[in-house]
Amino acid sequence: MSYELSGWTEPTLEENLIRAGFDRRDFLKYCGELAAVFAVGGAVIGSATPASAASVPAEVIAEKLGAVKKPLVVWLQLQECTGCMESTLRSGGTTIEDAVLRLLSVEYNELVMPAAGDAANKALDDANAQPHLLVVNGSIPVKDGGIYCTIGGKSAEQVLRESAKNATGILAVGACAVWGSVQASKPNPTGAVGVDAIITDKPVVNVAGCPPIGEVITATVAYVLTHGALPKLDAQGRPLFAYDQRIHDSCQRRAHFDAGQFVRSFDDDGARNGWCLYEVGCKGPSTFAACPIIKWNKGTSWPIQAGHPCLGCTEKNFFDNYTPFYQTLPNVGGFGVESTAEAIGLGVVGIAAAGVALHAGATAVKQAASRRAAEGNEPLQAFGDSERVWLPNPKKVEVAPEAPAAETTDDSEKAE
Amino acid sequence: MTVDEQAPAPAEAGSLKLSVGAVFSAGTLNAGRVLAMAAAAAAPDSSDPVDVVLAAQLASERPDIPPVTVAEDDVDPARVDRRYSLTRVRDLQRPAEKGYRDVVIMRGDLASVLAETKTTREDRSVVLKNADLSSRRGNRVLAVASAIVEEGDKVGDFKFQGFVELRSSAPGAFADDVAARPDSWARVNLWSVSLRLQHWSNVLAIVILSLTGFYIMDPFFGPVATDNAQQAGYLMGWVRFIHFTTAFIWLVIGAARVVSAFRSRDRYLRWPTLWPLKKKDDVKQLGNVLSHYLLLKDHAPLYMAHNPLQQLGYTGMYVFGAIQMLTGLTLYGLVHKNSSWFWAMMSAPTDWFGIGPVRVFHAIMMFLIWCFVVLHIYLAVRSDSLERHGGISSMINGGVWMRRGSKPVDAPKIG
Repeated sequence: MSYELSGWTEPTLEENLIRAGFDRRDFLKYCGELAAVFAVGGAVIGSATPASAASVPAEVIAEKLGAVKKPLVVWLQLQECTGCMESTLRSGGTTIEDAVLRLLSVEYNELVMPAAGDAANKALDDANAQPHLLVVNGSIPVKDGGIYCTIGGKSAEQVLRESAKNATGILAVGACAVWGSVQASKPNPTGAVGVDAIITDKPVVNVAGCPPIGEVITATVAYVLTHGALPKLDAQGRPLFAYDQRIHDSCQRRAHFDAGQFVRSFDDDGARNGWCLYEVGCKGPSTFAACPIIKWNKGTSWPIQAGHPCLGCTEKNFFDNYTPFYQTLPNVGGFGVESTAEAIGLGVVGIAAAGVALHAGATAVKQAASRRAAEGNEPLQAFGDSERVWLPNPKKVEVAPEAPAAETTDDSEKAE
Repeated sequence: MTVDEQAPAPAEAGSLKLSVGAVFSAGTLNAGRVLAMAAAAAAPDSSDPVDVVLAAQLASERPDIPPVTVAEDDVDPARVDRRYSLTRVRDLQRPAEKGYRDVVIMRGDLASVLAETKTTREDRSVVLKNADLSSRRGNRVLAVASAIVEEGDKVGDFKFQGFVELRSSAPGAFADDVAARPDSWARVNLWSVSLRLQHWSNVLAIVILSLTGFYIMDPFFGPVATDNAQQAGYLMGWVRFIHFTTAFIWLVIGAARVVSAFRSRDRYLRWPTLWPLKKKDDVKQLGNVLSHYLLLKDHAPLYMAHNPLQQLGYTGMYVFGAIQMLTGLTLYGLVHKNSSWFWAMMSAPTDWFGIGPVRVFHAIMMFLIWCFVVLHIYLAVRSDSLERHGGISSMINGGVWMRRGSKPVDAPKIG
């Protein structure tokens, strides 16, 4: 199928789509898919329903989305690799998402816009002047006055602040925009930070992932357009409809985890049999994402299905907190020495045991020496001994409180 | 706390082969007179090895000094809690003075005798230096002091006269077995049933939690794909089930411990014991304990319950336990954190620090607890074998054994 799309000419999105050759059936199908994405949030029984997303039927989405009027979008690409944009543009290869994106009237986006130079800057300034939806890819380097990422002579921070000023909603898409990703990991030479570290006076939706699933990105955009409000977020600002469950809890390999069937190396029979990847470093138990449910590339596959452990890319600081990727637990940093918690822990216990052995040896030697020195010190009544005299400490044995003189006097009186 | 009342029995003499070494005189008497004085402080026909060997030595070395005999009633023998004997010698001719006087002879352990006599600092240091040299050569020194009985049976001040070296010619004849002298020890019922129950239920919980926790951290064994038997099993499922169940039981144990810290009648369970450094002296004793553990001091201060270092260790262990409980709840809450405000609250640290670091922290704390277990078992075995107080069995039957006459820092004198 191919469609002729010539921009937004009719008043509403639906009319535009029909004019372009889509029928309502196609549109409803797409809205049904969106509804399925939103329904992720309602999957946990008894969960706080994320803004009643689960109960929104495709018809309602179609109605609302179809009635949307040329929404203005500024899509910034700052310090990033374009992977998020690739993920968005190739979210399953359906042209309908493509159409929505083009019909969103993305006034400014470096990757897809035809304009360049002054024309591009003017487009950005014009869009910034009106209420618009702001989507940000990429982190903001703040070190050294922000010289590590400049666009049109402005630092990334300046570009972001200008675009955020009149924004009605801000979506930080991708790990870079959420917290800085690889460039913000130690030692973070450019001082990269996420959008919510710069824009603190407006709510920011963090569509986490490196990159996020294309469907999750478009679903978030569609959510904002259909509801006219931001979706319900978790503690890290991620939309709950896509980030409320751990990968581990919906993983297709979970049964192998519970059975203790683990891949020990990537070429073993366990790997061939599709066993659990936990032992080769899968971060599924520590990662909140919709990957096992929505999957990638129109539900074709996803990393764990393809036989690779989850890297935990939707979690903050995953390059620091979850590395090495092929180990169960992250390394423990030290004075230039990095080692696993297990190695350090067992080492410390070993040191304690060795210390105990040494101390016991020293105690034994000392005891033997004191025994030798005291050889012949049998308990003697003349000394008031009752036992071997050096234990616990003869000097600690106190003299009876009664005065010896008085006692002797009594005795002598008796004697007389 | 109860102390079994038993009268201390005199130490058994046994058939020892003793010999007398040099005699040290501290004052006006010559060595022979000191020896005579030591020999005089004995009941007639005494079979005590010390009395026998002193009389024999006096007869062979100084036949010119006539031996003195005293009446049976005039001897008050040394005891565990008064480590010297007191003997009244009647009508003794004093060479330096005219006439005859009654004299009380104090004879026994040097430190105890010195404590009862008035000596100058210089004299005392000379005595101690000589006694130290003597004991380094394997001798024991039998100190002698005397006092004149004044008119009206008033006993004057004791004057330190000197000491006699005693040496065993049959080394190794110790009364090694504590059980052979049960009457010199007193059993103190120290640990309440609830305290012991707490201890062992914690042990059980920590062992189970450590084993299962280690497996969750690193599932180092399990089915292999080449096994012919294709029974999948539920290994990790069971391990995690046991871990979580035990963890919740441990939480209940912890809650019970908190309640008993405020409600228990057992003072060793109540919260004030958690901080041992209440007085300046406690800090000093902490230093003494430390220097004992560093092998700088032979003897640690005697405590009936916990010494300050020990108590600090146990209080630290409570902190470790609380941290493990909280981080455990944090990790357990992950699966429920988006569906319950309680688990969202418990799991909040994963939003601050990340899930990975919390897992590592939980694992490292486990290893630190293992370190504590290693040290705890070692020090318990060590102090039980050095001090013979039955510390290990006390955590089972509740009673420690204290030497009669000893004075623990944290308890009244053991009778």
